[in-house]
Amino acid sequence: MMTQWASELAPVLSIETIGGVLCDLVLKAPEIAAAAGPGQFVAVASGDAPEPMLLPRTFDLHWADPASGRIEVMFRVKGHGTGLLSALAPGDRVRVNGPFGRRIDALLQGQRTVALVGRGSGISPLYLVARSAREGGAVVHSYLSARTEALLRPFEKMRGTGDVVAATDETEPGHLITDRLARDLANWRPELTIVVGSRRLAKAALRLGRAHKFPVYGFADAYMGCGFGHCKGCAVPTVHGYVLACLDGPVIDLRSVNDAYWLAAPA
Amino acid sequence: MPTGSPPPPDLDLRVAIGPLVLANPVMPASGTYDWHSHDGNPLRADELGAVVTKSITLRPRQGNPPPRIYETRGAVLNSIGIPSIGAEAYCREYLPELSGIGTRLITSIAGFTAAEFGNLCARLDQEPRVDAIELNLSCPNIETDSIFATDVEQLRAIVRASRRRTSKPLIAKLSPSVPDIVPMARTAEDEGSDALCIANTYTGIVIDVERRRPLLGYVHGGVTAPALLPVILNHVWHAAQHARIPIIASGGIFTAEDALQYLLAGATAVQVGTANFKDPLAMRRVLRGIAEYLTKSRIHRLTEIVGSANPAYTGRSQRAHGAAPPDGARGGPEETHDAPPARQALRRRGR
Repeated sequence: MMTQWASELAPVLSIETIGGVLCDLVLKAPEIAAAAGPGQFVAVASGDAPEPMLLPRTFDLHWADPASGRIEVMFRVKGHGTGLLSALAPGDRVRVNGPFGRRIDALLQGQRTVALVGRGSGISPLYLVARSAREGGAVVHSYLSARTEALLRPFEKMRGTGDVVAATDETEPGHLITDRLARDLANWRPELTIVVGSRRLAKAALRLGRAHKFPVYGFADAYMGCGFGHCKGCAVPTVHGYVLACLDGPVIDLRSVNDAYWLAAPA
Repeated sequence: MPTGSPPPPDLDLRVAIGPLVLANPVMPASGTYDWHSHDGNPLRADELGAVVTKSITLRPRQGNPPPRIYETRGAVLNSIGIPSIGAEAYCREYLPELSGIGTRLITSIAGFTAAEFGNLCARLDQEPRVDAIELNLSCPNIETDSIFATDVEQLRAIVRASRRRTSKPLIAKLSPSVPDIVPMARTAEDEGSDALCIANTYTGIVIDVERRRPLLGYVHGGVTAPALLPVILNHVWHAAQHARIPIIASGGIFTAEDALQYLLAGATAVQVGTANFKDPLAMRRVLRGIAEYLTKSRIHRLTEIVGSANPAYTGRSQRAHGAAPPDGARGGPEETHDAPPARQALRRRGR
């Protein structure tokens, strides 16, 4: 069962593209902002005309503020749709639907230590997750990486949610940020780890979780059509059969996915 | 075209799909709209003329491996693979929930042999909540490794097998991948189909150039796109000149104007598909836009515009005699199936 969601024509309040690839988009979408929670996402499309986007693009929520009605997403500019959205200007209106997906408040509730592992634009939803985990009483450790320093800068505010270990490909070439998590496991052990932004990172976190016996969840990497369960497009292969990232996720237990998940083309 | 207000109550938007009267002509294409009692969808099912379900199969199916859906330049490819809970679970678990849907229910079915279609129809025939059955004919025939809807004899076998096993209205959903839709339309009609749905998707492929392999998990997918509207419209146009049963048009509809083109060509109703994914309120917008068009044109009954742009529309003679049926049924027994209408004249003019 899904909670109530909305479809809004939302004005762009601000938009900025960082380092040519990371777009930070803030929209006024009061109904969605009022209903959104950690782990959820929205579907954004450029207006209602069929051209130039036929499908919305789905983005995990970076922030949602019920008081101001603002929602914020950050995404990598990599194709036709994200290119069009990154070219929006303040005052433009976009069709935004959501919030979709399962909130993970319950998953975070009662956890004493949480590790968040993210890379690039994938770090974006971890801010809302970290805030929620911390409000629930957890100690949050974040392990963040990106290609360049500029691409990490928008996530400086993660430092307000707990310890942050950050690295770039320039400062630590050839290393995965999970190497730092592995090193820290001598001092503490997460009761829950959530990973997002890179399949390589997700696999590495899963290996660590298996070796050190902690659960590893991840934001599912799946092409989506609608975001609300109607198109059945975002199938995630698991040992129990296919689940839909939009209805059963997007945060899923990575211990349950099977090999077909890792072999499919990344979204 | 502004689409702000609900249709005025004095506007008669009713249409008939065979014996089934719908409150309005707008419905989802199969696989693009689900209804659950508490799914949070801001679009209510009772705003629609009907709900068409995702195709159900006789036995449960998982569907295709991912990726299943992808937008390429100007088109969407989908390769969902008909995940289905199976006919028994559909009847036992889902249909009771649908009792509160507030509109007509058209159940789409997909079989992999003619006998499976027949068995599905027989099972659904026992279910009073099912108002009509749509035959998804774009499945592969596993006995011949071909597509049912592109072969007139296979189409005949399925509609015949289905008709024998149910008295519910049958809608044959045809494939656009045929050089001439008319023989397919005629065959479906001759075998007892109550209506036609024109059309399902074309088949396509998209290659992931970075990985040097097909992007979709199943390689092939159905192509949907606004650019296909004129192509499907061409099929509807020709079918409407020959078929005496109603046509439900489907293909590339994003706006009321798109839907109106189909209605003016001779479709009685329309299905909205991919647009639902981008805008969950797309069907409301389309319906309100149609209503505004009628109001602006001082037309009170939707059926008056059906086929009005198509000089050889088979429903024309009936309407011309002032017998536009309140239920939107079309074609009379006095009409000959083989009348050589304007289609040939148009062909002679090189259209």
